[in-house]
Amino acid sequence: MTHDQEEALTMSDRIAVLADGRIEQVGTPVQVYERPATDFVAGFVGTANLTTGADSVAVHGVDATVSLRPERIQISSTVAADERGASGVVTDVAYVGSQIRLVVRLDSGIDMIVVTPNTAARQPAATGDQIRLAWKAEHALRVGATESVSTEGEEKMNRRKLAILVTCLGLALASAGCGSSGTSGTSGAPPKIAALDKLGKPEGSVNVIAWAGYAEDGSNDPKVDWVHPFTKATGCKVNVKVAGTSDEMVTLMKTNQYDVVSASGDASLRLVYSGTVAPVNTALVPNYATIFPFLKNRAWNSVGGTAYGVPHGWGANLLQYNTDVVKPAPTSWSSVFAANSPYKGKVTAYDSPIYIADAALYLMNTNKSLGIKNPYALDDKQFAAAVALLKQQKANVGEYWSDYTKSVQSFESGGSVLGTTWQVINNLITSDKKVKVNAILPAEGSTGWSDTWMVAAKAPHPTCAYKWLDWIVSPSVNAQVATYFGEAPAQSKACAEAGMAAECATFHAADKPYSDKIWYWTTPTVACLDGRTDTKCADYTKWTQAWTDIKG
Amino acid sequence: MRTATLSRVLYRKPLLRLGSLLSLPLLWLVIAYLGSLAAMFLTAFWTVDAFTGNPVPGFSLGNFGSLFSDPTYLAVAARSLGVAAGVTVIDAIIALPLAFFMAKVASPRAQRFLVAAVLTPLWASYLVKAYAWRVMLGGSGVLDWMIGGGSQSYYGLTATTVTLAYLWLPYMILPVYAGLERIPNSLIEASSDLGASAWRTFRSVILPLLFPAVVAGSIFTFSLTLGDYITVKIVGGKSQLFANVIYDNVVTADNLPFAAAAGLFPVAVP
Repeated sequence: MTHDQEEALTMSDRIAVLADGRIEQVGTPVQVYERPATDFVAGFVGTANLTTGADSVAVHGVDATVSLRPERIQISSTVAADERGASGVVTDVAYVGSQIRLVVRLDSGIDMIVVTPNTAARQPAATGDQIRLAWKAEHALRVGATESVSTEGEEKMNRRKLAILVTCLGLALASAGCGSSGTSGTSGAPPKIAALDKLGKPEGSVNVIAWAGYAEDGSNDPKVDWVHPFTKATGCKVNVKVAGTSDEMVTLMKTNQYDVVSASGDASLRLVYSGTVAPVNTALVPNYATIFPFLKNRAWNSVGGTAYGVPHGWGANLLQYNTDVVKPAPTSWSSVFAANSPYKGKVTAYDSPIYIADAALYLMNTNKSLGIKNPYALDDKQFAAAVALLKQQKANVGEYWSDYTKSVQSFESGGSVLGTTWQVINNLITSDKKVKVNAILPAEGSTGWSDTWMVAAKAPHPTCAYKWLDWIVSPSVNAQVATYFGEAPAQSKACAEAGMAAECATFHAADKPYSDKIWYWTTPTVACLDGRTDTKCADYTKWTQAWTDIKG
Repeated sequence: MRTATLSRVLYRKPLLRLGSLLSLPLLWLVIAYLGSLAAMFLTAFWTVDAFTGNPVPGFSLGNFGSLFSDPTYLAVAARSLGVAAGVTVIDAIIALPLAFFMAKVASPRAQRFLVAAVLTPLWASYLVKAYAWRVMLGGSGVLDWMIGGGSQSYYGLTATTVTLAYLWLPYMILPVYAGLERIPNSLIEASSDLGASAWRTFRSVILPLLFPAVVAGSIFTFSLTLGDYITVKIVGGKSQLFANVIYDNVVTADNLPFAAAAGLFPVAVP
């Protein structure tokens, strides 16, 4: 069995030509080549000039399918008695070594392939030549089949075979289906690092790690720019690296290439205890004096009375709901934690281990027997209860968000109707006016953030770093940041700036009781943050693993 | 004449010729590629200081212990393998007939056009495409509108699988198309001449010859899926895949040793 024709003709005694699984002809090589039974055999074995119907009449004078082998045609100006002839123009010449192959367009418009032995050392004809052809009449063979199939038709047939193959392929495929555990670190005192004692000459630049919206240079909104004025005032060029998460900030600060960072409470202590940031000499920051007192020397920005940074601003994680869908209006976090929520599949939650604190805060209020005093200080039993609550909540959650634009889109499309949010998200949705939303601070209070500007222990530009600290909490700049970002300013004098009274009221900037309802993000440690010494608390590594576990 | 001397030296010393040809890519492969894999393997045995998050060099099997003992990680790993297999199967089912049409049926002109059409989506950003699916599958999206779900969103594992199958489809079509193009038409004709049905021809002639190409395409779709953590964040709703575990441990937990141990899983699977 072979597909090689020369091999077939040379080796065989008898040849069977098959097409579509049907035998077309059986015979000796000579019979098959010289007397093809069908047009298929004529076209398939070797090359043939096949003509049919009117073409055959024009060339051969008979109305039948006729096959004429190219090597039987001669270039000759004379036509003998037993020969037939035709004239035409050479359209193609191919030099094949032992032979020369011509394509001749006859006067009747039919293309003939002619093969002549390469006996003379010159071309028999060139493209464009007018030549005459002659062949013995007996070599023009009438093909046995009556069915009129041209060479073109043969091609179509092959196409059809392939087309059938393709369909079957599709069907066949469809029917076959086609087929950490880190060692506990000692968390006693942070490494001893001295604060800067006096300012030097500004170094000419400062490298800043900031939350989006904290160090604007006018590139997002030309009207929002407090970076260029700073450079003008101090001569320090500002290089801003925007970080997306607290964890990214920690990772970036550890590279020792940055001077200052706007750390939230869940990053600040990690930076302090790893010796990445130095205490801040607040005497070198004149604007520190008028910062709201209730923000100074808190657990997330100081250790043992030593300030490690300058408070910048704060806000609460709020409960947002679609007022057209969620009725009656929720007043408690129970609306997102209760089992069998009527808004199943449309509840959203913050995608971070720190969200475990939200569950702990809820339990602190609703399950007094657990004895939770601080949602960031959870012993094994309390921690397990918070994790169990979040696993139960997962049944109601449609999606978790960590990117605030994703949360905006999800509320606006109706995919989410209820869940934890930030003031800035609420502002964006409200100004887009696609859906009606409201954001409240629920009865239980809330978690939140309080950000602190910290200075790197190995700051390459310490003087510029201190200049930046003082600049960013100056009344006018602090007011601009708070307005742009959507949070309460830390600077008490910021509220005295033009148009800031309403802003400060919205964010409860001077409202200490409101601020006391907020549990600011803090890094959980083995040593319980609520002062208990008789037990160990789950640290941030455990929180992270649990968060993976909750999401399943 | 210096170039002539250089070429003479290179011609005489085949080893030098081979060495100068391969040294740069080998340097890259060994140091940058295998080196970082080795570094990751070593880091996997380190631990992390619980509070500061600084890695502590040493030798501990703790990372692997928690990786294998925690049913969550095993479930996430199994889910990731399932999604990767699903994406691969979907892509193969779509790519085979499509590539067959491109390679064997379409005219040469249409062929060029079709190849370009398959490649065009690769010009668009990955994120743009993923977010496009987010909009289509979201509340008041196209899908919701078609089935009248009432502002329901359809994020989840199925959405992730479909989106990834869309994203990686060209990586399956191209190798399969190239493989099909290399199969001579005469073999297919011979098969049908000998009476084989279309299905038989596909099973006994095309598929065995095409197998390496399908494997190549599957490696693309499978490993790309296994390493993806962004699509599932965009259209996955509340589900997570194994790459998210790695990502979370690098970025959120700052636990590089554990992330390294977890990172060995997608390396070890193929």
